[in-house]
Amino acid sequence: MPKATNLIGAYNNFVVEPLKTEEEFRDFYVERPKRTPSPIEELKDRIENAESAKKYIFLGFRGCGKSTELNRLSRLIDKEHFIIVSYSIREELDVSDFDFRDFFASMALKIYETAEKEVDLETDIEEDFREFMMHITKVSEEDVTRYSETGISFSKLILLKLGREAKTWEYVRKELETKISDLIEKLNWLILEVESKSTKRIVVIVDDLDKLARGEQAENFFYKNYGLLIQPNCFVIYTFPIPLAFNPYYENVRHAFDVDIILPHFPVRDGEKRINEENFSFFKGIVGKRMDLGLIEEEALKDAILSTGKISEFISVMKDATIKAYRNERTKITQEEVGKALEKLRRTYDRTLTEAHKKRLLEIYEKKEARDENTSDSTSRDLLFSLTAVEYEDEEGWWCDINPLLMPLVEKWKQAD
Amino acid sequence: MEASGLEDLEEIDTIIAELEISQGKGNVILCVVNSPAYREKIIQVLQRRFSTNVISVETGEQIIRTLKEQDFKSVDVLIWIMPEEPTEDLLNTLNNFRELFYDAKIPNLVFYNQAFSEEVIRKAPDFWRYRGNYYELKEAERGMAFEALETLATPFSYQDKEDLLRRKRINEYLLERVRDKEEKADILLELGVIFYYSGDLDKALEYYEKALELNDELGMKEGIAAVFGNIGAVYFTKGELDKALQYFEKALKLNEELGNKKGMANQLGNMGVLYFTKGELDKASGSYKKALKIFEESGIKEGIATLLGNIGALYFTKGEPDKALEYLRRILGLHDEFGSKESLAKNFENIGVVYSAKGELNKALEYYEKALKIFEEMGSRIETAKTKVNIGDIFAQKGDKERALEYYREAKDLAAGSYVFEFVSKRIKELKE
Repeated sequence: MPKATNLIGAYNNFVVEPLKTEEEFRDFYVERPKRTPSPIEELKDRIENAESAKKYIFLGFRGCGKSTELNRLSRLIDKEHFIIVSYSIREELDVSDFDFRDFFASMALKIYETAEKEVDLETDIEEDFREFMMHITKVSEEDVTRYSETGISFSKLILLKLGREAKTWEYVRKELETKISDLIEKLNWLILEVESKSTKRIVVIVDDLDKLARGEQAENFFYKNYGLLIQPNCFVIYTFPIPLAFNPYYENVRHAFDVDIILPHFPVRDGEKRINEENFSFFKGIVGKRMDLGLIEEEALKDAILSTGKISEFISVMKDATIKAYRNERTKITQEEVGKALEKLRRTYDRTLTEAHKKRLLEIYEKKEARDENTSDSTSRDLLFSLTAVEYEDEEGWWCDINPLLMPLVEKWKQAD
Repeated sequence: MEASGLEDLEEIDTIIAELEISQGKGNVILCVVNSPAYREKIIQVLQRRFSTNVISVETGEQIIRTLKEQDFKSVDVLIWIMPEEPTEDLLNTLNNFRELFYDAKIPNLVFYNQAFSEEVIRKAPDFWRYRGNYYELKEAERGMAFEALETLATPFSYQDKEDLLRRKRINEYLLERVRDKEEKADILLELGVIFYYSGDLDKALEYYEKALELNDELGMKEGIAAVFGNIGAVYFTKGELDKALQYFEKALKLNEELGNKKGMANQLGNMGVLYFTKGELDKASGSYKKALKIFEESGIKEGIATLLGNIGALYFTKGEPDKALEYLRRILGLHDEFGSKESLAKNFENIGVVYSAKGELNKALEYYEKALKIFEEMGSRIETAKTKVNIGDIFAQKGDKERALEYYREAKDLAAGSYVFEFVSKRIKELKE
């Protein structure tokens, strides 16, 4: 992915997907600002120097680069001494409807999948595990044989059924009602077997757990069962739904884990509206890695950065402005195109906000903090979750504001208020 | 419609450019279109350019299977048509399997309606965040009815094409006979207007230039101002908006010098329409409100009604239908005083369009029917046809194909010889398909 020298190349380089491959990291990754660095280096050090298998929770708002940073962690950890089992829960289970039982079944299968590749498993351990999994999912030996002939492995077959068949969830949940400790025991046997034979330690990274669709589901998973989440005898990094961190239970749960790591948003302006040059440069760097900076007017770039200030949204706006400039047969992106892209997005957000949302956003704008009135009020939480309000970290500590994109609407909302 | 047509055309052209340069790569382009018929028209345009695979989506499982199991080697673009109602299953699938769209390695164009779009933003935020781009096309919302509001302020009216041709013949005849230069200047201006309405813009411009020359020679500033405004309207229609703006500004300046309030308000109204077309809604709002103020101060009721309508349209475009209704309803209050049946009917129709966009179909129908009654009483064929198309659209949206066709057919019979004929014929064809 060479740096773009024309608008077509630039359009194709503004991709919103997390960085994954070596090439993508080499060409597109920009170091986070020094004052709010990525916590991944520290997490890597923690893992590599830990004496026992720790559990971590990893938090960050939508679009702040979590998956990219987790992909980076997978790349940074010393492979001589560690085996990485990294997966997205969304790829394995139905995120809108899974619970801790399906989750542990899927984690065991992911570890088994890796174990098969890394070591020759003891027959007893392997058979015991397979029989147990077949029993709780009601998968027969014939099924396994039939599918293996078509190239679908044991773990893949059961994961497919677990992710897609309501019937299989029902079996698993019923069986594991009383046998969850059996499953965790077998999971730990697998871990021990792999770690002792390979002389490497297992690090499991579970991405997208923060995407649990329903609030109640997320609370049940993390708050009612957090005791189970710390039982696997390997390193585990759980992504954690940020709205849950605004819940009073969070304090209790947080201590059960070894450390909670937060990937912050960083503001391009401070609370006094002064431009934070270092953070500004970070966003400029994202563009500079993807295209020749001569392809955009300086003022246009400034508008895009100051009006968005979070990575995925910024990239989207740049992509939109790029196609507009291309269509206008320009040689570079101008303020007009950036302005149109911003306005389009602003109008869309404005339309989706209710009067209660707007009122709360005005409060956040005035007070620079986002609090709900009581436990049954979730307005601020919803706003933070949808990123119409943003929580920042800088030299001033933690503070909140409305999404910079919405700033031009403040006066209008005030008049309507 | 002119304005919304132009705006959409630009957007569709951008979609094509975007699909073109994403060839062979994963991409997700979201496109909000409310009217199925309009969506089909867009798809047809795209199909002339790209080889497509069009998928009418019913379930989440269908999306997953299509993306995981199909081979898209001979396809340039995947077009997804989401159903009218966003189900939880679909929103979850979009949110949780968003990567599959990129894994397909070809661009995906996803069509859905406004309500679906808002649910995606709220309930499938990860999918929304993964978009390559998104578009909101307006045609279905603004419909044919808003055409009336965007007609530039030219003091001229005609019944149909025949009427226009007759007036052309008369003016050409007079031009040869009249010796009075002032009279001649007026005829030249009117001929320009006739060619403008006939769609022959170059010819219109030719006559306006002649009129300008003559007015200039005679030192008739009022005439010059009128011609400037009309030349602006020609450039506006040609899509040369900057040039159009220059002429509207010249006309405004002259009218200001002359203290011609009505002329000033007309030009400000034109400038408003121009900014509106350019999407510069705040500037449009500024011009409209200045024009409205002048009309109000001068007590020109018809002007007030037009401007209230334009401001209503502006709020409607800004996605503030309630505010739009507020302005449109004010026109109803004015109506008893100046009593143009036609504008009352057009206003009823516009209120119907707003309700239709809000999804309040019965309310929309109620207003369309009020408009229809007046247009029928007036014997205004084209307007009656247009209203019938709007009513047909409501029945089509309600799924009552037969009644929709009934209205479309009636509209078609009435619309012979006008552009509505072609429009409604397409509607009938699409509905039958």
